[in-house]
Amino acid sequence: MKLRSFAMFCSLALLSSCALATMTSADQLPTKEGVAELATPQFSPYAGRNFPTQVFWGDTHLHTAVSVDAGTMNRIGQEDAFRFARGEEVTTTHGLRAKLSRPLDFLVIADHAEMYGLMPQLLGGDQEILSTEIGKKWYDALTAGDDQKTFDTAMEIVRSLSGDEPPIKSDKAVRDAWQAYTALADKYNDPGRFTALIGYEWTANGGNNMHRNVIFRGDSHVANRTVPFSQFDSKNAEDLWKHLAAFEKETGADVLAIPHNGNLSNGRMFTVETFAGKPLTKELAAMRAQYEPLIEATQIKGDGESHPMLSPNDEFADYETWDKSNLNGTEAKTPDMLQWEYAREALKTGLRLEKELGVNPYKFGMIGSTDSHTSFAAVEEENFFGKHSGVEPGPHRWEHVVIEAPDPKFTIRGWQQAAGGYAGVWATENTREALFDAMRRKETYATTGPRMLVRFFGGWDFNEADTQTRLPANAGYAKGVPMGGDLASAPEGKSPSFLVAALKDPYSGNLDRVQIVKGWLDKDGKTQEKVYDVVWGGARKPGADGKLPPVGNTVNVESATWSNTIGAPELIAAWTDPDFEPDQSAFYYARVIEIPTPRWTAYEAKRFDVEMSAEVPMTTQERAYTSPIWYTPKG
Amino acid sequence: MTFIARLIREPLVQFLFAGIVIFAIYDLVGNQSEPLRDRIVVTEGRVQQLALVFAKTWQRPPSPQELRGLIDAYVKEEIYYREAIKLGLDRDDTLIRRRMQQKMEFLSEPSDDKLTASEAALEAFCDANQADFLIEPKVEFQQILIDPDEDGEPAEVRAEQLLRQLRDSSTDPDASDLGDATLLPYATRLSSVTSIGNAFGEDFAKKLLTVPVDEWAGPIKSPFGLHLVRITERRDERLPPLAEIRKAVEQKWRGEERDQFRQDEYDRLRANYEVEVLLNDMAAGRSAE
Repeated sequence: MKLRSFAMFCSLALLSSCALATMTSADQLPTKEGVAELATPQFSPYAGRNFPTQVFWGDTHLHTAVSVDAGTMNRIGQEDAFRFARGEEVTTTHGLRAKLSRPLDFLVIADHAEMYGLMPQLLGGDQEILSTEIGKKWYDALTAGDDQKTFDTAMEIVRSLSGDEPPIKSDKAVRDAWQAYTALADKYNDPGRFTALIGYEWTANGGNNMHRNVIFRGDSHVANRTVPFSQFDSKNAEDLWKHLAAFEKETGADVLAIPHNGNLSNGRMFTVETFAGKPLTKELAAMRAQYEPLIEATQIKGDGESHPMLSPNDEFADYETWDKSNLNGTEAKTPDMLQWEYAREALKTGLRLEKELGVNPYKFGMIGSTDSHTSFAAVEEENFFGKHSGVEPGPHRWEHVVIEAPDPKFTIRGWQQAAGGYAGVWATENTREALFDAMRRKETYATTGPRMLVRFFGGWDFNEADTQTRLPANAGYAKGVPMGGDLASAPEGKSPSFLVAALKDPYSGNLDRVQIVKGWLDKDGKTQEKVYDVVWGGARKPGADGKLPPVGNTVNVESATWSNTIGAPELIAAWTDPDFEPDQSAFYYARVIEIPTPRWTAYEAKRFDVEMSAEVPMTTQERAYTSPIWYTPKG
Repeated sequence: MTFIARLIREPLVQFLFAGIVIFAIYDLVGNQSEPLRDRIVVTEGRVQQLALVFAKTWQRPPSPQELRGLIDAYVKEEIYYREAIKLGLDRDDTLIRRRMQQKMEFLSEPSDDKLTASEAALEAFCDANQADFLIEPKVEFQQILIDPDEDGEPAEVRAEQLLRQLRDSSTDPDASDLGDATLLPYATRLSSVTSIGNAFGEDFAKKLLTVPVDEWAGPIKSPFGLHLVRITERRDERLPPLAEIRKAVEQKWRGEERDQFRQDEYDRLRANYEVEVLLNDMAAGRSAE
């Protein structure tokens, strides 16, 4: 009897999670009748389409002077940040003119919840702030005109963000600053042209990075019914989810949270335990799956998709890797921590937990963002403005300290910053609601900076013919699910097939290859992974070892140029899983890799005519990671 | 005459003696012990102001006790302020200096009538800053890709062949299936050159401005290969009449006027000062960097 009800419970849980995942996209997917309609030739290929036909580019993680740490070194407010993101030219803190090569479609200014709005008030001589001892002390230090003192004070302020009590506590100041922000976001929100989503960052366990960005679907009326939930409210993400749940219940609003930098959490981000160290429960797993549909897999502080130790057979796994310590270098990283830090491994862990608990807490899609603290979402390789205003462009920023650690071998230097990433969102239109809904259903992908177009569909019937059409999305949505979607219960004798297409960013390098990364739970209950090369540019063939040879390298480091004589501008393929086992749960995501192009350090060396030390990489192979498609066997 | 007698007859000595007598009398008779004191007058207006500020926060007037407290606090503040000024505490305080600068800068904000532009001024401004108000050229077009990586004849040859085929055709064929398969859209509706550049690359977009309209033309190169294009609508770059862009022009004009006014105010003050900068080696070295 117990087994039977347990089995029913599991199936219900699986069904409901499937339903949840497909529910939101149900109105995007054609119905059975709709498919018949599509098949009838219409004159206009665009008639009858209600699925996303355009990818929108944005940054979900930008800090301005309003953030306590950024505001120590940066004088650019939220208004200029919006103007820069939508394509205008602005002046940086240090007087440089800056402009994006192309505007972004959306931006989330996600300033730190902790003492939100403090810095402009402090530096503006706000009496309430300056009447506190520490307020006065910080004010004097920051306005002394001594760069070193400013930097040291900035580090001290950043450290104070992890404390238990805010050094300066003023609920009124926070509320005022928050409402000023939401009003500004409403002002810059221009539906159809530029979307300003409202958000903030919950910056808990500062040193051991458990940070999340919270994003609202609604406008200032909704967002003003709360204030940012800070780490002084709780350092436990479970409390954040409870807070978000309560807020949704009270107001009918819609919010989600996006964690980042698992690579700096020293083994804490994607674990199998609760915050208190007990085994993870189904309820908490369900909450996590509900409120964290995405992760920020790549950003300036390192790429978090895969790690060479976890994926020794993946020659592309070691990309912009930050793996020596936690965020502020106060704790060294040990190899056993890695498995709880990286996206691919977490997706695998999720399959395992799903089997144990009935819910997969790590069923997340992927995006990239910057986490820039300069107020500028500028991470193109030739236009990289750095992590914070202590390292804006200049001849020596490559060797300047970005994050100071007590032990010098953990100190992060300028050259280690990655110039990336961005979030690509397949939404039906450029509005808050459409973008948020796309994030909720995980129809998104991460890139390390370039804006390549990537389509990824999974189903049971994709074939060569689908790659010949001019509109692969038609076939994709008609015969399968897009990235972020679910497949279940394989039809008899069939293996899942995937339609993947990528178009290069016209401003960036050609494409080297498209891969599909598969992770699955084998019959022994162990997780496995494999990377398949699906389609590539040039006339290469896999060698005897099964590996595809590298595409080559046309980069001239001296002149920071390359030529697109290798690789291909676009790639499209239909691929069927050759190793499919219908009773084993699995996930698949596409990874698109460009040919080598100059890294921002090469542009820097040329521009400022400096020579950098041998350890500094000069070339990069930019990439994109799509959200996965999950396969769940019959319950 | 004796020395003393001569002394007494000296006018200076007589005056000195008179002075001593006067001071002695004053000392004995005048007000004892009270040293000179500063005066602080708390006017009725000030008391009203204190009560108003209180009421704004607390949404009710202060009680007599609270008002007494407010007045005491004000007096205390005034005393400390005056003492601080006497000690010169305002002189090297960055905070105070910045605040004073801020107050001066408020005073050098132009008045509203200075920020109202005449018609002529706006026209002139628009003329002088055309680049800021130009509307970009826009193009609507279809394109066919010839992929250089495809097997067979070289791309240029295939492009020429296809172009001839399209031009020779008497009917208007549906060209969307010609050329090589691509993810790039066949048809692009009327879009600015910038947004076309975002999708196809800058050079391709610029080329579209030179190609003839309403016929298949090309091949044009892009990062994706060679393209044959047919432009169905093209609008040149244009400067809209003032009536259309009035608000934007006014806003920009006002911004520049304000900046100029404040700069002029500062220059006026600056002219009253002679500034000498003493640079030591270190500072001179730093500026050379």
